[in-house]
Amino acid sequence: MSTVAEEIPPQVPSLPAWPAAPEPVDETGTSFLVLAVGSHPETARVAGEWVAHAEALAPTTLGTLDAIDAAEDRVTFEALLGRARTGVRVMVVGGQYDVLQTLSLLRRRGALEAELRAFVTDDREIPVYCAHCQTTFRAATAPGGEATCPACERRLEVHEHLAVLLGSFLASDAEATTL
Amino acid sequence: MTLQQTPRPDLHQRADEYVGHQHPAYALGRRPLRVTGLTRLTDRILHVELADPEGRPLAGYQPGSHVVVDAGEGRRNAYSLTGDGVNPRRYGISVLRLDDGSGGSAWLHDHLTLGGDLDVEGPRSMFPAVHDQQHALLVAGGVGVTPILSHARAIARAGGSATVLYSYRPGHEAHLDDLRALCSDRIHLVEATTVEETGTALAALLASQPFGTHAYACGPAPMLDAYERAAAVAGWPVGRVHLERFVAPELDPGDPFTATVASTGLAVEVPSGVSLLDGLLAAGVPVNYLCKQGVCGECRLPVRTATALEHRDFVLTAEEKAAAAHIMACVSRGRDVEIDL
Repeated sequence: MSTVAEEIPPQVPSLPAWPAAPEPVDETGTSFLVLAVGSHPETARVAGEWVAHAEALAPTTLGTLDAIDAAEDRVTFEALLGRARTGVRVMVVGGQYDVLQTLSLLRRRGALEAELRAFVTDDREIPVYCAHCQTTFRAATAPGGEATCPACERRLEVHEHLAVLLGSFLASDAEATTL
Repeated sequence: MTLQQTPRPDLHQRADEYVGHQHPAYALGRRPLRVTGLTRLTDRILHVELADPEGRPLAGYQPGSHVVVDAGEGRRNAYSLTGDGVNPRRYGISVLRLDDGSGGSAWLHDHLTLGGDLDVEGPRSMFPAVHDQQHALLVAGGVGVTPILSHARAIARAGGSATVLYSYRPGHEAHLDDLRALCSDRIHLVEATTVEETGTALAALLASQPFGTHAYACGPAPMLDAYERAAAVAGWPVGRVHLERFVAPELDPGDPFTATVASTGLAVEVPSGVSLLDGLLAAGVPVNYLCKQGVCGECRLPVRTATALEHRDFVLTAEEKAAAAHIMACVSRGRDVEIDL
């Protein structure tokens, strides 16, 4: 087995910078949608604090989802967003996988950064995007680590590159330079 | 193995007039177009249709674009195009006669004839649609209906959805029939004929738009101010609130300051009451300009350094103003401004 020598240009990481503590509610909003995803105890606590603050300002809706991928939860998400009016501020709390995928859905529906708040309770899992078969999957790894694509079964290297709109980290064949 | 990329040969920007072997619709430079239609929409608004004299296709454009037309005696005026911009065979503009203006609109009303030629430059896009809008709230006041009609037509063509608010004085409702003709289950029109009705409709509509809506407004300054205030009250982030002004408010004369041209070191003293643009032109520094009201964006200049910049234009975004890298020479001022020319 030999390895092809290749000069790889220096990588410029693009990684999410999560706030250390939940950001305060944006008081310029005229309604609020709090999305709590997953069962982490911190998720319920942060969502509760946001709801308590937001309710005092304007009409507030709390959506609790088990996982953003679950079909039932996706229906709930779409219904909540369908009822939302421009002027709303959307606040998402949960594990890193669910938060990134939820933000992705929101951004694809035209959400502006000024309308979004996010807090990550744990970074144990991340969304990984397989560059080869274009599958996005949940993996207990981190940028710089490895994961196996469930669709094409390639061993993937997860790059320090978050595609914000896709809400996932780019990954490519970890053994691609091995002949 | 080292991968080397062949550097791309420099792509020189082609002269606007030069189209060469490209499709004729690439022509955007100043060129004569034939007047193929003149329709009086109201006693003061004339709709002008323009086509290529040879019958060739015209350049397509983003909704909300405008053209710059020769308006006699060296004047050049900008007018919004009213079409959807897709593969146009004709350009349509609607000219409001302003007898207290610089005389350009009156000249167009008095001198345009069917079959005659009119020099046209553009189209240029200064008021485009946001590509991922989920819905559009379109707000028109008076002759500001022209770019709004363009947006509505483009949305109708693309199968999108929009809510249109048209505020007009009865008897001066240019293009109302065009907007009514666009109405469908996806395009709704709300009409308002008084300031109060307009204000009430603005507040109600801004409070009820679906998530992901972008709003676009064009009209007189008081209506645009009311629109911006109502949008802020309704909680809309500024990134969703777009507008195009055709008349800028009066500005105070400002303090005198010095502008330096970076390449030559030429220092230009700009007195109070004189614009940076006029100061530079008087000193022989060529600067393109058009509206001289901080609206059109033509005189945008790069700034290398400045002790202070006082942005008074309606072109730069809040972020661009904060970045202090550009100045609109016709209205904005500053202190010790080094222009990167």
